Amino acid sequence: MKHFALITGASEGLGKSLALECANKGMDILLVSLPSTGLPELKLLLDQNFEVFVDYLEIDLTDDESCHYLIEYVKSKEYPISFLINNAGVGGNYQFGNQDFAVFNRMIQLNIKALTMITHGMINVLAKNSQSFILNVSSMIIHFEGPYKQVYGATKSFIFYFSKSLSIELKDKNIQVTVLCPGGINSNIKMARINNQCNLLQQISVLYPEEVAAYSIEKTMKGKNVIIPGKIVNLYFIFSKLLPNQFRNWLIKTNNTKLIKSQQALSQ
Amino acid sequence: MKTFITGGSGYLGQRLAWRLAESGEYVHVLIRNKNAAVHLEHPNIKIFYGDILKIKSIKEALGDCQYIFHVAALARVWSKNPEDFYTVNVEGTKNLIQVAKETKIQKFILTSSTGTIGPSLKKPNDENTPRWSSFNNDYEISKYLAEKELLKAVLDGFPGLIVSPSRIFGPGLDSPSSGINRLIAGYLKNKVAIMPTTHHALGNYGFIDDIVEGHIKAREKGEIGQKYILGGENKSLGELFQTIKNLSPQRGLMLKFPVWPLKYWSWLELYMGNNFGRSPKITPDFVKRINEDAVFSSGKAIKDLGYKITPFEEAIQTTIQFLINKRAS
Repeated sequence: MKHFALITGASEGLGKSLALECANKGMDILLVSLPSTGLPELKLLLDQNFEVFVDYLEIDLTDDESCHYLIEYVKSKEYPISFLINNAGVGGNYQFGNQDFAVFNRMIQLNIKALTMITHGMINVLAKNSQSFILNVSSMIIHFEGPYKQVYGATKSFIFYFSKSLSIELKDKNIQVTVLCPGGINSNIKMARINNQCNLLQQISVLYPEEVAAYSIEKTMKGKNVIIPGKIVNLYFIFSKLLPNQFRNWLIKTNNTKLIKSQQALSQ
Repeated sequence: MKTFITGGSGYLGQRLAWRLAESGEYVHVLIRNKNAAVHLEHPNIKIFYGDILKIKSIKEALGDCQYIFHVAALARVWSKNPEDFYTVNVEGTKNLIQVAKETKIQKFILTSSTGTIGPSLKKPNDENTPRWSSFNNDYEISKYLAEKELLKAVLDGFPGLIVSPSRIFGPGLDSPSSGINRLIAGYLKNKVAIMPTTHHALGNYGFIDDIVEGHIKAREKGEIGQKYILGGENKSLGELFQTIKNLSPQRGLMLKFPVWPLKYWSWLELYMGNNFGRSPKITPDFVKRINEDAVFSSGKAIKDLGYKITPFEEAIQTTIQFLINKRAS
């Protein structure tokens, strides 16, 4: 069966790697990202290197209207979407009290509302195919509650619960729902620079977006519900469960404090 | 005509300075290390001591030169402090642009790297190929950011352009920036080379003398704001090893080694680097690249600049001969 993928946040990092992986697997693709983030160039690159149909939409998904527009666009074009990848998201480390609410509002709007709206709008389209997939991108940090990631972590926890719940609900509609929980990824220049400043134990757990993309698509198609990519990440995850709570919390706090510092240093 | 070259004590910069001086041109070079001056002792080369991180040094060395080749860079796979890459490659470029803006410079040629474009898919990469692969090393990121600084200045009317050599090899000073030279030298010395068992990945190998000529042609004919890839032939890793073996006068062993342990070895190397300051021989990013194609087309430089590519075998042969003579002396 030839798949048609809809990928949000496709212009950078994991989203871009997912787009390339889908093209590599022969899927047609609708790329969605913010304006002037390089989607026309990405379409051209895919056109030149793969024999698949590629279309793109440059919209800001933090706006409800844009989400509606995307849903209507797919329906009007009659794109037979069979692989929905909800990848768009914003993160970052912030001191809750010292930050403008706009930052958190954007996280909630994009990570929770847009994802839910798009999924809701696509259900009927997805259900028309003999087999469809939804891949939602959550994060490994939902298992490591720590400071400075309060809202971000909570939005990712939402995605996790939402996906697992929906997965059971949609079984009889032939829609497979998978949630991806990656650890650190070198998803863009800023993340690569932050990651390169980490200690070795953290550095070796960081994954390339290309490998996460390939692994995720493969496992989603095999029907896996929860994906945690990376051997080292899995090892740390098991190990973390054995640690006493106080020590575990201290580790997370130390780590997050370091992250917020390098984030602040780079944004200066 | 006077030309200012940064990185004159480096592999590419020294070769470029020498080539210009031999042709009768006057060259200014700015170097930090007095020991490096022996390779630049030429009546047409004026040596200035200083640093591209100091505006004053740049002003002195630039003098009344009309052209700048900004070749200097921290070009290696690792530095104990990753910030060094950004300081030297990005801040250094900004400093040069700042000083050059105040003078009547005619052209500023930034030497970048095909590494900023990254690996290729099915079609060869060219100057317009967008970066699709993740950035994983500070060298490439810093060169990418340096290009951006230059292009930003071009928008304000600065006469800058970019040349991007691929994997560079051939006669010249010892340098961490030519892995191929070290590979050949190691093979000649130890009679053993270690090649990965998967060696299908294609790379682009640029001969240094072609790249030097390409720089000079970019100065003559290069258009402001443009980028020109200065590469060579595209060959697989296997072909590279085989050619070295075939053209070496002595017999040697090509040991095959699987790629997967290299990842763990690179972690160990990184540990040694971070804790004991020993420069890693391989890095995780290097291991990732072993299986990725990096095919480039120099078509634009050939068409617009008259860039010429020495046939691969001839270039490797010249390099082997140079390295043999160097060992003997």
